[in-house]
Amino acid sequence: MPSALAVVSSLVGFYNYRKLKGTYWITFPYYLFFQGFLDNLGGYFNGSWNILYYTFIVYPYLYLYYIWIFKKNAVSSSYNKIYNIAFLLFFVNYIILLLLYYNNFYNIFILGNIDVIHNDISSFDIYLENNTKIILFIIIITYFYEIISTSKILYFYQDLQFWVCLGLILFELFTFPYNTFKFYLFENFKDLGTKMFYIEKALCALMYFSFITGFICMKKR
Amino acid sequence: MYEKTIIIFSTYFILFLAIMVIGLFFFIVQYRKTKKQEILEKEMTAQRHAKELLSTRLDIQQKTMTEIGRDLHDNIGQKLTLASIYTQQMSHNEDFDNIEAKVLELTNLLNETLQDIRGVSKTLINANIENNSLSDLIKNECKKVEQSKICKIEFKDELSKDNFNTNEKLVLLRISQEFIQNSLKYANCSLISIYLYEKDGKTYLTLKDNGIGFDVAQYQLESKGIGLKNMKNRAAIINAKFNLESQQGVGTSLTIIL
Repeated sequence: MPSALAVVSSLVGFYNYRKLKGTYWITFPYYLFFQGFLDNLGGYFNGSWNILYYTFIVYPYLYLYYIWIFKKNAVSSSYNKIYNIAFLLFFVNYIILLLLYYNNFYNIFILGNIDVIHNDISSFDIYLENNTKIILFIIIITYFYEIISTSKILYFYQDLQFWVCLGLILFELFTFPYNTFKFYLFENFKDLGTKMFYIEKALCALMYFSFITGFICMKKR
Repeated sequence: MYEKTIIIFSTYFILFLAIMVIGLFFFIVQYRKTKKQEILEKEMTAQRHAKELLSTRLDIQQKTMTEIGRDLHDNIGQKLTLASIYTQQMSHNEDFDNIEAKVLELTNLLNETLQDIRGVSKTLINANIENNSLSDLIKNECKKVEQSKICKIEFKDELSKDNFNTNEKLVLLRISQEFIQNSLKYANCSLISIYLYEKDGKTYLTLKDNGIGFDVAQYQLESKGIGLKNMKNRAAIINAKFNLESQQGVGTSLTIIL
């Protein structure tokens, strides 16, 4: 479902392509389309391969794009510093990840033993996703601070970035505890884990609806 | 354990919702504050524009009065003085043979004066901007420049119809006058071209001279451009775009887009 919604919102973006012309948001429908494609492709990878696929392809694509587009749309150069720090933190995050799970990566990439990753699968996934979510949260807060301190606030509903931030904050932050405990939940309370899984999907749908609203309400200023 | 997990999750969601509500409240407060500020700024801009408009009207009125005053003093006054001298001379003159020629001369002088008075009246009527099209108003300015014989002036009007309101006409005329005066005074040009046309549903007024030109950035930096600032402010009154370009040795071009 998320991949289908990503494609639908990308199509809405292409329909409103004229509004996006001349702005960096012109890349957003392409990004969403490719995001839908990557999500769909993820379904073909199982177990450890799936984790590796998301760690080294989907997450960098997703988070680096958001940091880049937010940086490009920053009003003042002083905010650029925050986005640069976010970029740096993202890479540091990966370096720490590689150092922490050095043995696993050594086994996977050098010895070709993919199964070893299963032992650390939960902590591995939680570490990466939560850290990147914190970085994303920092840049979203930066954007909200930026709009409330400028006249941009008067036309917030015409700004695609506002709707993107709203969607991201609803999905990424609401699902923060779920991501932290999802393996624990599925192991111990499958029932609650399943409920949370559906809540996560609903929030994901809400995020894409927020993007669609952004495309429709957007006005070039 | 199950209950504990539920409590942890519920606490997080409630905390998250609370932060969202606080954030939303702060957002609304800030929005209202900025909106109020914007309304206040708009009111102040409107007041400033109204003042500028009044000053423009007074400027044009003053200019018209000066012209009429100069005409009355230099032309009509002189001719009537001459007529008075002729009459006095005639009353003292005993040469009755030439009296007919003198009367004819006096009649001609008085007719000329009448003609000039008609001219002045026409100027007064023409000053009524409401009754004239912008094209006619600019043509009048062109005539004055042609009469001065300082440089050539050409005017091309390609507008299908004159849809300007009084304020727009007033401002566009004033900007044209300012540009012409600056070109005559400082540009040392041999030709001024004025072009009024439509493109993509917008009206363009382009004024060009082939004078010495100047460095626009430097001019603004040295805070010399009071006339330039006035023209810019006037264009802002009617929400027109103001685009001034100048190249040393080539000339200056001003485009007003409405």
